[in-house]
Amino acid sequence: MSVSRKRFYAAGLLAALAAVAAMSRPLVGAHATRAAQATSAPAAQAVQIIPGGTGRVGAKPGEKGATYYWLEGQVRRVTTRFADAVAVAQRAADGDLETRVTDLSGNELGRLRVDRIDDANHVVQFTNARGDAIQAVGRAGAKPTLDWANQQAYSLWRDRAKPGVALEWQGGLMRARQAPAQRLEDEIQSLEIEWPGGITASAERRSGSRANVIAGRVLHGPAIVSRLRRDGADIGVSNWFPQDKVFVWDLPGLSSGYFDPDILKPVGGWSFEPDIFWVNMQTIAFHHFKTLLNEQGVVAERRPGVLDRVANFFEPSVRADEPGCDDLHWLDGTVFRYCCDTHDLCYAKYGCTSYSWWQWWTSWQCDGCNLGVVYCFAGGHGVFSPFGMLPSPADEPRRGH
Amino acid sequence: MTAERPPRALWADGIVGVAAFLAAHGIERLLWRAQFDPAGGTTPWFLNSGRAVAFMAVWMLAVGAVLGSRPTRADWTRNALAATIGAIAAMVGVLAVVGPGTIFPLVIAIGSAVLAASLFAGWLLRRLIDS
Repeated sequence: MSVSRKRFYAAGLLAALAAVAAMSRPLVGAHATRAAQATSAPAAQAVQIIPGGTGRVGAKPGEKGATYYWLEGQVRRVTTRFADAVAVAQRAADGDLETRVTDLSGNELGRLRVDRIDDANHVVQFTNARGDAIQAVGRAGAKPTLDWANQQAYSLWRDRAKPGVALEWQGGLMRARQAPAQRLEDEIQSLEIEWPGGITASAERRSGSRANVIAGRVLHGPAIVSRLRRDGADIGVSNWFPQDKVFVWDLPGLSSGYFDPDILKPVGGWSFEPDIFWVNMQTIAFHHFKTLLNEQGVVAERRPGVLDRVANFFEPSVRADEPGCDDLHWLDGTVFRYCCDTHDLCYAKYGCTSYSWWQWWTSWQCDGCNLGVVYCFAGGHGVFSPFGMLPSPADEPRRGH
Repeated sequence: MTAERPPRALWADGIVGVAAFLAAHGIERLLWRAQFDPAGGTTPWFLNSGRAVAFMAVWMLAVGAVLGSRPTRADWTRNALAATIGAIAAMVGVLAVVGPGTIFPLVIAIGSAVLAASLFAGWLLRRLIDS
């Protein structure tokens, strides 16, 4: 055997060995992680206090969808106003969250820091105005957001949390053990989200019914009204009516319409209760995705009305457990994400699985979903298959305005 | 006078393609959280991160360049194709282990395009330099 050929086979052998070594290492790591989690899992309800100097402890991954967290991860600042305090949360460069609670005059009442270790682990530190600090493990199964950090900081301040005060989980927030049950969401008077590019979404609560928001229909009860602005100028508005469970939006030049329980029935109705933060995030999502699509031309030659109709199936992805582009998360930040999100919703609607790709005879709706996503990725003049992506005639949304 | 080296067998290039992909995947798994996906949330897979795509492309370019320097048949594209098929076969195998998602045919198509383009580019580059 020649020297060159020996070198050739030696290089191949080394590469194979490197692959085997690399693939075996994570298995050992995973085992060690599982062992560590088994010894450090927090109790179901009790808040697990970390004594000073203790290392980090594991927690479960988040409970909401990837799209939601992807959008939330781009939020720069959230300002939450309560009757007696204001909480401002920001995301640090390393992904940690920092909240400052002040009274209405601007005097600091407390600070909260969420030390985000990784996607599944975080530690919460709260320091009151006197400098008393507590540190606790984040709740298993929860992913901290800026909105949550504000509510948590306010709640701990109001409960006068400090070292020695027993804490427990109540509705996703750690509270003093004897604190009366409360629904903090209802106590938020207004909430503002600052988004890159000078975009802000400000939501506030209003009381009283609204007429003519949807043609021929009167909506009753209180409402959450979100105003979208760019550099201070109004560019859109959305309304959530909790009593009628109707969400209405109007972004001139981009999109307008509404969801109600009937429209959402094909995808299972409202699977969650929208809150003031979601209303803002959803309004931003409308603007973000529609602007992206218009600028990058994926649906440049769409027929009038098609995008709006399909929007009724797409935008709920913000609320859904929707994982983006499976095995192609490299493209999650691009216009292709729209293809993936729509495809996943199509799959959810018709109960498709990855088997649908080769068991094509089992469901023509799933075939439509698959054709649609291929067409979308290929940069077709329209992202949607005529079969699976569009709502069927029976599901045709009733346009409000 | 230097003896002419015999052309390498196609199967050998195919095996190198398999090994090259597995090695790159292994490296990415090892360094996933540190280098490729610091925020977490995705499984180690070269199409789940832009950095990982770049790493795989550069890696395959280098592999193509190394293989391109060896004696091949007159039609060198057959050797390059063999290596590409090997790498794609390994990619499909790894994807099956990782778990095919809802758009796996697109994943295979896009991944194959990345691998093929990189390997052929490396191969071509080396032959241009050597010529």
